[in-house]
Amino acid sequence: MNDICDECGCGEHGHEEHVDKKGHVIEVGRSLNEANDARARDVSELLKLKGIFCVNVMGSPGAGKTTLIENVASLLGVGSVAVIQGDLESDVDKVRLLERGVDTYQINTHSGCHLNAEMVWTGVSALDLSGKKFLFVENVGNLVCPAGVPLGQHMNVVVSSAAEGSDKPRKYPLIFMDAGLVVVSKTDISDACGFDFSVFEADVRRVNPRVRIVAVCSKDSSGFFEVAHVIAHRREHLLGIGHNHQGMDQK
Amino acid sequence: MVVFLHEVGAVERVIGIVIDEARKAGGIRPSLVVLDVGSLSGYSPDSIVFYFDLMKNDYDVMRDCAIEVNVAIAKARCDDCGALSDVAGGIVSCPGCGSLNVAVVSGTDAVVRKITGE
Repeated sequence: MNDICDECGCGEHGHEEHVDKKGHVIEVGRSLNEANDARARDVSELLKLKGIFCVNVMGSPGAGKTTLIENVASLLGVGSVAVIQGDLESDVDKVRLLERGVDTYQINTHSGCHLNAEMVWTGVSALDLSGKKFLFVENVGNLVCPAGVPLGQHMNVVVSSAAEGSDKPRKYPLIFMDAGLVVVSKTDISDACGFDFSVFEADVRRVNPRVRIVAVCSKDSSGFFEVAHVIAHRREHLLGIGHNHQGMDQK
Repeated sequence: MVVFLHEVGAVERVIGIVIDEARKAGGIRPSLVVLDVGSLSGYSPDSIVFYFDLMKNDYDVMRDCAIEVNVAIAKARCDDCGALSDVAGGIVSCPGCGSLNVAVVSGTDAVVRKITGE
């Protein structure tokens, strides 16, 4: 930068200050999340208008997300449930859910590590939602990226299996922080996996003090009724449906 | 085969915003974009720089544009004592009163702050 400055004709200083004065500076302030956030609001409001409660189900690959949805859908009534299913590839889980009589839309992200609101909007537009009360969005198996990405859901459920160990909330706090319900699955193999529920719970409470934690097991179907009850109850809150809280979930 | 990672989508949006703002400013040629990345946004600054330097070359108007990425530390506010604190390590508690009733109030987003060009 030793050229003669064409701003003042001198050669004694660098050009930087003059370039700044000549160049445009545009103050922008635009968020990278704005488009997704706006679309998420579209999804959330549309579903609420239709009386549909949307649950974003997250967890590691193999945690038990699809099993949870299958069992809870049966308890809620499969005719009242629709599912948007996300995986990189295949329709394995869609086939599984269709066999149970649950209307399902499959999204394949190919390489995307989480679902976004635009994908869910596409699914919402494609599904026949008449008569539905619940939409479960099964996110891509991942404890990292889905956290904090709004899809238009009314509630986040995080599934963590006994097989993954007691330390998931400590290692992946953000996703547990955002959870409206934490489900511990595969409790029948807790001993074999050395899973310590009290350690797990204590670490969840460090980031999410009052979240409900429910243990489920598909072998004896334990816990799914409680999950279905919580979700149905939260739907009533969203839609302002009056009900009696005696003996029920307070949250 | 190109492996798309998490920040590719973010960089696409950055480039889109820069091109849009440059056009609105009368067709300037961007030379620098400043991006503030929240520490809880889920975006790695190094990955953003890496992908930006690759992907900008798909757009003629962007070829001379550099990126500056600043990290904004996420903040949480205590519902009990009102104190504002930095979020670090994932365990969110109030350093003032020890309460766990804290809510993250900033740092989950990434914002294109300004663009310089000619």
